[in-house]
Amino acid sequence: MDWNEIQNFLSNIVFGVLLFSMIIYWINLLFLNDKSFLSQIGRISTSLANIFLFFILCSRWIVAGYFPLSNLYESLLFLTWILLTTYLYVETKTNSRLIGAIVVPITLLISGFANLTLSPEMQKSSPLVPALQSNWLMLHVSMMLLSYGTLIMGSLLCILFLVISGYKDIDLKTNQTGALPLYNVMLEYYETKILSPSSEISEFGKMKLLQSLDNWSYRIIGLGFPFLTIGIISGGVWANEAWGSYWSWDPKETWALITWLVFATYLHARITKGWEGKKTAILGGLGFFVIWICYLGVNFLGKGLHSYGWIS
Amino acid sequence: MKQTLFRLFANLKFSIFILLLISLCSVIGTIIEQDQSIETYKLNYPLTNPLFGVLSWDRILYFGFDHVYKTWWFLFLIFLFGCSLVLCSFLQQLPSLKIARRCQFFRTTNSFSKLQNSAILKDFSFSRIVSTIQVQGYSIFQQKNMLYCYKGLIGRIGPIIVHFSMILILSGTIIGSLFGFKAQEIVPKTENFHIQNILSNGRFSIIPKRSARVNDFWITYTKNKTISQFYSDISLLDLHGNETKRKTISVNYPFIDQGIYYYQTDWSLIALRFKNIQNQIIEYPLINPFSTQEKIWLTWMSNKQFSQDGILLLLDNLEGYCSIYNNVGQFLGNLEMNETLKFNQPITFSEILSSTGLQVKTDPGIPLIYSGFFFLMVSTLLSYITYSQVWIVQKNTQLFIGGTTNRALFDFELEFLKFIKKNYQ
Repeated sequence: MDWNEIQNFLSNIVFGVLLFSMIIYWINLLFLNDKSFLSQIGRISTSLANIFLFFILCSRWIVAGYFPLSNLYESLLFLTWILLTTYLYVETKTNSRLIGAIVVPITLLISGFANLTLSPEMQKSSPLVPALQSNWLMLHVSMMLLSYGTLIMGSLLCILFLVISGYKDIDLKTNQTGALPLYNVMLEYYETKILSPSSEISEFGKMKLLQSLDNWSYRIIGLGFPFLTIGIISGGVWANEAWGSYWSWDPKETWALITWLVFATYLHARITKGWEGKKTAILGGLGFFVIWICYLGVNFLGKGLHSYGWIS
Repeated sequence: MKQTLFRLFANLKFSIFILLLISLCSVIGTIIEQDQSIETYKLNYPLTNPLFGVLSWDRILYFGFDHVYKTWWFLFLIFLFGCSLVLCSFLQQLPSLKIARRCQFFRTTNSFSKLQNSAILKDFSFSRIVSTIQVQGYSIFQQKNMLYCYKGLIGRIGPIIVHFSMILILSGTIIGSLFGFKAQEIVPKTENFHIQNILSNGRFSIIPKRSARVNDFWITYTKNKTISQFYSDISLLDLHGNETKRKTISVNYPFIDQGIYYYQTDWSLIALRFKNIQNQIIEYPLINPFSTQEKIWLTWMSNKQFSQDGILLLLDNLEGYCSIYNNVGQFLGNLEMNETLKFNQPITFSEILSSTGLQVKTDPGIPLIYSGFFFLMVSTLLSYITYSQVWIVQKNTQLFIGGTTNRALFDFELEFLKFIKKNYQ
């Protein structure tokens, strides 16, 4: 077997593993209330998929001799890897089974799209065209995809927030001024996860969940935003070094700017206005769609500097 | 009047409105193709059947949707955005920073209940709490029985630097558009050129009277016959035509001299040269019958003069061969360089005349823009750092402790827990 076959084989395995872990996560969420061995299996299988993806990307890097982000297929694999990594991190931090149940299907879709719809010709790594032969490729593309990954993750949490709260206005501050000393609040929060919840505590647990979703989405978007900034700027510097203008209103650039503006609005609403909960979650949820237009939608137009051979 | 206008511009809602408006307008430019000829718009957006029921070519031209990013209203929006950025920085951010730098002790205990996290401790060790706070990296200020601690002030300054770097970038763009220029030169190899075919220039830009020579142009290919790289060998000339500097440029590696950038951007083929037995050179001009995007050139060699009979020579690369077809389009074979073609008289394929497409530009705004870029990158990262404050007031046997943070709520909650939990161990 040559490298190409091994990579293809592994990439199909990743798809299978993700499908498996999605089913596990959903069963776990729908039918089992407490933390069971199933969630462990889910986490182990996604970690496995993550390792496989890492291996595929590394082997492509070694075999082709350049950073493996030169075509759509590779960037999709990389995005899947980033999404899985951030999700695994957030899951270990929050212990929430919900996030996995939402993110794993998304990664499954991306990996399915990469493996099943793209032709084998497009999956092959081909020599870099002159315009891409630069060290800026590594910085620009990896930063852009890193930001896509983190921002998708953060905006997914926003959407999740909207779904769980039932699109109602919820005052997240209510239980912070409660008479209970803080450490008790924290203790009870963790206990609700272990003990079978009574209705009162589950309402309280839901509140805590919403709060943590709200804050986590904020933190993750807050991290994705600098990445997006660095990605756009490195693209600008590269463009200036390669063909003499740092900004040319190419559709991809414009949509990256729109994404940047949307998330800048989100951050301003949070920091300066002190908004939280539903209002900012709507903005974040909007960002989710904007990212996808920026990442894939623009390529349907099939023009501009960033049309990396999809519909051509 | 002036004050209220300034306040409006510095208002966050106003700037967010402008931001979203700019986003919306930019979307138009990605849907409608930009900078096309009027005929293209007439073809794609007919009067009789407008897109979405409103977009017909006359409206597109009227509103300037064919060049959204250069219309006065789009530039005006960006101008408004810039004003709002400047005013917001000076009227709101800087004053708030001054307040943040001041030590603010809580003198009374009733402000504690308003904080995100607060607790009242009865059984405590004051020194232990202070040392825990110190271990967490807080700067601590004490005044009698009052304590004020903060950390991550840089996270508070970060957003201000973000704004200033945006202002830097915007002013760099303005300078660049006023003093810069951009030119495109198609130069046959071995020939001299001056900067003359100007694509865009600013109101105050000075086009330097400099000349240069293209010594050579070549393309390297990969094993799969795809283009690996384009190269142009360029010499800069002084007033007397003597070479001053020389460099080989390629895509991604321009030549920079005295603020003038020479980029490799395009290429073209001009003619084929043959030698007959008498060593006379016969030149056949190449034409590109398709759109300029497609790199295919051909020439016609007629059997006798004014005859319909002959062969077609076709090239789509610079690898040193051309393909021969007869007049009904049948492929006859490839003709390599230095190979002799027996046609009328035997002639030897001796040369492909090519030209290189160079872009020449200056942009005096670049230093400003790059420094803006640099600060923007650093400051958005710094802005991620969370700014936390903790207040403590000791009153008789009670200790009031409270704190707020602007970003990492849960991390802070845990941190806060540490401050007060230790006392229960």
